[in-house]
Amino acid sequence: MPIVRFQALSVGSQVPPHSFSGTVHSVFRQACNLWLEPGTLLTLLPCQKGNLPHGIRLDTSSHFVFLHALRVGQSAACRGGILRIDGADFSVDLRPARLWHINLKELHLDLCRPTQAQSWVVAWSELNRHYHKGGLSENLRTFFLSGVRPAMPVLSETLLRQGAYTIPSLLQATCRLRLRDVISCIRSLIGLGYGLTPSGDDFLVGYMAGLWCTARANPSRMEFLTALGSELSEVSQNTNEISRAYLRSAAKGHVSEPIAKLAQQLNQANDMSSLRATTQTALRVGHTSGSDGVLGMLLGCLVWQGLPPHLLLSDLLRLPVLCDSTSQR
Amino acid sequence: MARATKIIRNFYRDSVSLMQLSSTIAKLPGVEQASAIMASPNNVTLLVEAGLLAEPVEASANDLLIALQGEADALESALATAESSLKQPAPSSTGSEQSRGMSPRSIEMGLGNLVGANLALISTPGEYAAAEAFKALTLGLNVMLFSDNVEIKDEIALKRFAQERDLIVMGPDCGTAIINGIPLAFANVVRRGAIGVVGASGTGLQQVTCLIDRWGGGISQAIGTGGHDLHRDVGGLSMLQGLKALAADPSTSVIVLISKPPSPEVSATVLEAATGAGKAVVVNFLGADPDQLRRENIYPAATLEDAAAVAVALANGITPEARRASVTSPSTPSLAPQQRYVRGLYSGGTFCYEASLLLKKQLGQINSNTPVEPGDRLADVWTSQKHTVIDLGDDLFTRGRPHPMIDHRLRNERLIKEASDPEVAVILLDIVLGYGSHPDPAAEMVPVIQKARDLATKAGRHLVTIGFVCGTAADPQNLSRQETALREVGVILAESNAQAVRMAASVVLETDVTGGRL
Repeated sequence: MPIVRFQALSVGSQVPPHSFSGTVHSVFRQACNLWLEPGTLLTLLPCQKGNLPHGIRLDTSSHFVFLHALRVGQSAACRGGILRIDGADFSVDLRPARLWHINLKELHLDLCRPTQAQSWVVAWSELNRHYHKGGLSENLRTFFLSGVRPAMPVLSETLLRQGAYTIPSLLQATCRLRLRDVISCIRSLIGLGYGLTPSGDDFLVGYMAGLWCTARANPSRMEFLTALGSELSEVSQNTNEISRAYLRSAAKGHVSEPIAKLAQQLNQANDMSSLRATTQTALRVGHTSGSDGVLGMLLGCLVWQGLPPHLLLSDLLRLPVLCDSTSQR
Repeated sequence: MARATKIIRNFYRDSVSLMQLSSTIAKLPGVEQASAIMASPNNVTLLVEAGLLAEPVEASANDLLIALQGEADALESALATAESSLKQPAPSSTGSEQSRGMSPRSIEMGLGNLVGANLALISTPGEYAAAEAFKALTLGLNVMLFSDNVEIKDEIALKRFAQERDLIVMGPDCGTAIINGIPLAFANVVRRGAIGVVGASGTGLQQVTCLIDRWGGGISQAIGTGGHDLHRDVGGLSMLQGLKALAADPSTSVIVLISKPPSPEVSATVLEAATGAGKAVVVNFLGADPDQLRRENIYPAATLEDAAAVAVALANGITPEARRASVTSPSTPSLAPQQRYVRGLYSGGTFCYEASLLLKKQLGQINSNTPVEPGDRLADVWTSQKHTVIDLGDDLFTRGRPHPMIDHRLRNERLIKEASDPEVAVILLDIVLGYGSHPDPAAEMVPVIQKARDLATKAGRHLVTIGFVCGTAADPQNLSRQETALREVGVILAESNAQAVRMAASVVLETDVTGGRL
């Protein structure tokens, strides 16, 4: 019999609204995943973590450790709004929780508008100030801009090359709405890289977010994105189940709160100091997940803004320098 | 340079831990390169390209792959170090482990011990039952309400409350269900299959499910609704919910509905829902005119036996032909001229009602405590009149004593009484097996049947005893042993209630013919 009943503070839009059953899939210090048939993942999060489309945030104390409370394989079921986990000391009351949802499809980010373009530059600048060892943005900058590359482990070097060759192709194919080519690039990135959610996946989640919030005005892009989302869900079989949950949500236009809030702030473009803080929050997620996701999102935002694709990466990677020097003048 | 790999299946660690692990191992003496990485196809290719793997390995994207390169002597201990650092301390076991030993004292406590449960079976005195059922529904559980004496206003409120939450209330007074292959309360062990049954009658459900099993079919779900569900005021809410569930259930291809005839409004609603179910629906509304029930996908059945037969045929992809009631006349010694009547002593209410219906067509008025027509009501339920069938499970008989499926004393007493009546030709009996029923009904009945026959013999009569066993080979009572014991004492066993009833009628009619009284 559970001793503690946590209240759910918020539930993501992808959490089933009614009864569900499953098992504990994986447990970490500050998260626990539940596996629901037929192939859905739910994530329990402590109060201090941001929302997820498939997440349930609990009013835990800040020192609550899931790893001490749960183990893989325990049965879990939600009945009448109460989530119980077999043998756990706690249950979760989902009834008072608010629904968390940011609909990227409703945003209308247009970088041809000066204020939104400025907000993008600010976020890009924050990304490049952030140091993310092993992340794609760090690797790409090193690859394209460094005259002499520092020695790095063979694996990192190989990863870097893969990303550096694939991402420009991805941007070009997306710009031209070539679905087959885009899928080919995505296949090369899925499950690629370090981390529980590999860098390639984090990048793609952000990339889809960037595309969704700039596609609204154009029906052919919306149509393309819908088809791409469907393909992405299929291709996501090539990564692990946890990462797949994020990819499948992103395929439908749902991403985690840090990335979604960044998209909102870019769209609003009215408070640059707040935008910087939001970008930094998004960048701090995980080890390199945050920076890989922000990189993907900011590039995704740019794809349909009429920039010459072949200039894209090298120009963009120099942008913070240009921007900073411009602002100093 | 040597290589070593280790695959840990379905293993998840957060990114920081994986990076720390890679870094730690890479610093061990003799290790040149190390990677702890999720084994997605792209990452495996990456490791091959980077030289950490000689060739792709058999691993899934959910596996953790540790790949090392370095001096051969150092790699084994490096892998061991990696594995030991991945070991996770067991979660603390505190209150919940202790609480597992406690008997739950509420539905919520029960749910705490069995978190995946989605159904509560409630059997409390009727006055408390509705409150407990509301608690269960609020907790998100479907309800099987075994309790009777629940007020109809409470039944309506419960069923509406459930419907709003897409849950079902089976009952009140629901004695039979088979959910996901599990018999609940009075139910039989049947083979699983493609036929789903919703019934407002407990023994009706048992008869249909047992016959389906006997004839090679199987049951997906058998959902009881309680006897009042198709009352006009209740509106068939549970039958509609059950029908909806079976229509959506991919493992159900044929649906069977069983009830006494509902009110015309409820009947219309249920038939409309059945028409929209998208599956073949066999309807047995006992006593209803089959032509009134017929629709495009609806197959009316006159008896419980017919319902089972039609359902099995449909499940096997065979278009059911109109079944003709077959009558096998048992060969019995000549009866005395005054032996003219059938006495049915039933433990199952629906069997009794079906017997009344079938006998009435052949023998005229059938007296009963649960009559088909008001004029056929027995003036004194303790004393039979002419053709009589008695539902011994009726409230009148069960106040303060167990149901006759569990406790055979009342029926045994009545059996002796009927055997003493010189006008009785046939005793008609149901023997119900399965969970909930007496563990060995034949052992209870055989001595009494023998005594009844002896009484008749001493009086110069032969008493015909006809019965049927409602059960399956997998029931705990051992069907074959029960049947053998009953046959040895002279009971003529039919396959179903309908067949037993027809046999009984034929014996009496035969007697009338031979006695020249027609």
